[in-house]
Amino acid sequence: MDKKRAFIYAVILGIVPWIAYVVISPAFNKTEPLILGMPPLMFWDVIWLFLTFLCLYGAYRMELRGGLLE
Amino acid sequence: MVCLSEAFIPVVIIISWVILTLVVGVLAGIKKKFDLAGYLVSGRALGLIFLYVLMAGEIYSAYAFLGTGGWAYSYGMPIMYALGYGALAYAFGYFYARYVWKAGKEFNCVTQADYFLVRYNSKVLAVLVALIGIVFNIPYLQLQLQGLGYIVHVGSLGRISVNLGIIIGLLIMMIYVFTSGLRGISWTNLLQALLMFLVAWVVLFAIPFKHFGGIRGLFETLSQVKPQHLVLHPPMGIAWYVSTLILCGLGFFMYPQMYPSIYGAKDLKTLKRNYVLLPLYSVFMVPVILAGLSVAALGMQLTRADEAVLKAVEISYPSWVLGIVGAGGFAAAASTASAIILTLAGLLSKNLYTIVKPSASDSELVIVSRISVIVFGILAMVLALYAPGRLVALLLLAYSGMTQMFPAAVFGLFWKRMNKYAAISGILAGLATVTYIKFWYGKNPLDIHFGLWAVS
Repeated sequence: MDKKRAFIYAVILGIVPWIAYVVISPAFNKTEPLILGMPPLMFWDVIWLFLTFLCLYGAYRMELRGGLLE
Repeated sequence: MVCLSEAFIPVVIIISWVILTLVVGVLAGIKKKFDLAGYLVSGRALGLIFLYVLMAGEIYSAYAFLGTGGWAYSYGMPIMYALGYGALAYAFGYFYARYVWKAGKEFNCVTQADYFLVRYNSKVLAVLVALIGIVFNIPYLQLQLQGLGYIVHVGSLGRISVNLGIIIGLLIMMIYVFTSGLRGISWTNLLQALLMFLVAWVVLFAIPFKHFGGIRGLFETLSQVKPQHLVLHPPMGIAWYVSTLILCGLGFFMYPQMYPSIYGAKDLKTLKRNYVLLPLYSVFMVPVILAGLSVAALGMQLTRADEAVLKAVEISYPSWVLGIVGAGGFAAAASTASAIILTLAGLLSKNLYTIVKPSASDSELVIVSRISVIVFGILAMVLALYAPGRLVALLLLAYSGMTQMFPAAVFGLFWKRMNKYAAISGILAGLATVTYIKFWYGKNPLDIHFGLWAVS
């Protein structure tokens, strides 16, 4: 994979959490139903801590393969 | 046989923890001979574990306990912004930190102002950034100390007074920061991370299970007692939530204490791996939030919201457990406050002292930094002891004020035509707007966080 492409993919993965929190999470602002016992907004915001980790790990793998971390 | 008082065990736990922190912090650097980079940024040699606990410890302060729990108790779901902006800041930092680190390596930067100096080649801008960093962070430091004093006071069942807690805490910090610099802070933060983990996942996480049989039970009760707590609601509605996420997510890197830890990374891979892992550290705030919500669901009335987490522990456990939480609060406050003290000392010596005396040698700057540690420590102590509460308004201003540097920092990365004049005028205009909105306008236009207006 060439460097430029790797960087673009990594940036896209870095933007995904922003969309999840800033754009999508307000749609979860309701009292029902409780998901895993939590209100929808809390469930979404907590689960995205883990998903943000996965997105950034993906970005890291991309950059590593593109040789951007030397 | 004298009967031991109830407070004996918690006081022993807190004091043992304070002594352990001091010993580890001092031993980390007492035998080292530091040059300036060795002292302020640990010689750019931190591996993943120390870098991770250093950053996490700086970010999660006493207010991660007191404030987060208090907000959850008072308002409920609006506190979710605290989970969200952390994740956003790390996703942004994953990319931003690279430029900071590279500039640091190439031009031997050790402070935030150094980075601006390199990017804009402007001494005036560097001095401005250093001054903003110092002025806006002193109230933040003061608040950490007050949080520390308060949490130790409650944790010791009232045996250690708030002021005594502040004095002891600060002396300990000043000693290990003086001897060991950033290296001492990274070692003591390793201890903090372990204790925070214990407090969050063993002590606090069990609270909703004790009272409501689980998390679902907690929220079912809460939906009866305080249904508003399950959603964002005015004045902290969706517009407020989204604007705060953006402002805090981006403003995060305008805190000067973020920079030395970035420079401290031993290589780019370590730095990036650290940002990959940081969102997982935020998960520890979930038990803190649950503890705050439990107090709300039980229908308790608190005189001050910041008590919520401590109150939750008090009603759920035998009293000695408060000692562990007190020690945890001390650790959380000390790890943040010590990093701020060192950062301010770095700004003062590297960016302001060198203006007065450009010929200052590296070893002279180490001495100036160490003296500055003592100066800022004593200044913050005096403010915390004699002017408590008065600077809270300034603290609220701090985040917004710091964020005014954001356009200069970020557009400078991606937009080659951005120059020093634009950066300086942008920062000054932003500061003026924040001050105006905060002190004269008196409310947030359209409920959008006022700092965001000033940035734009």
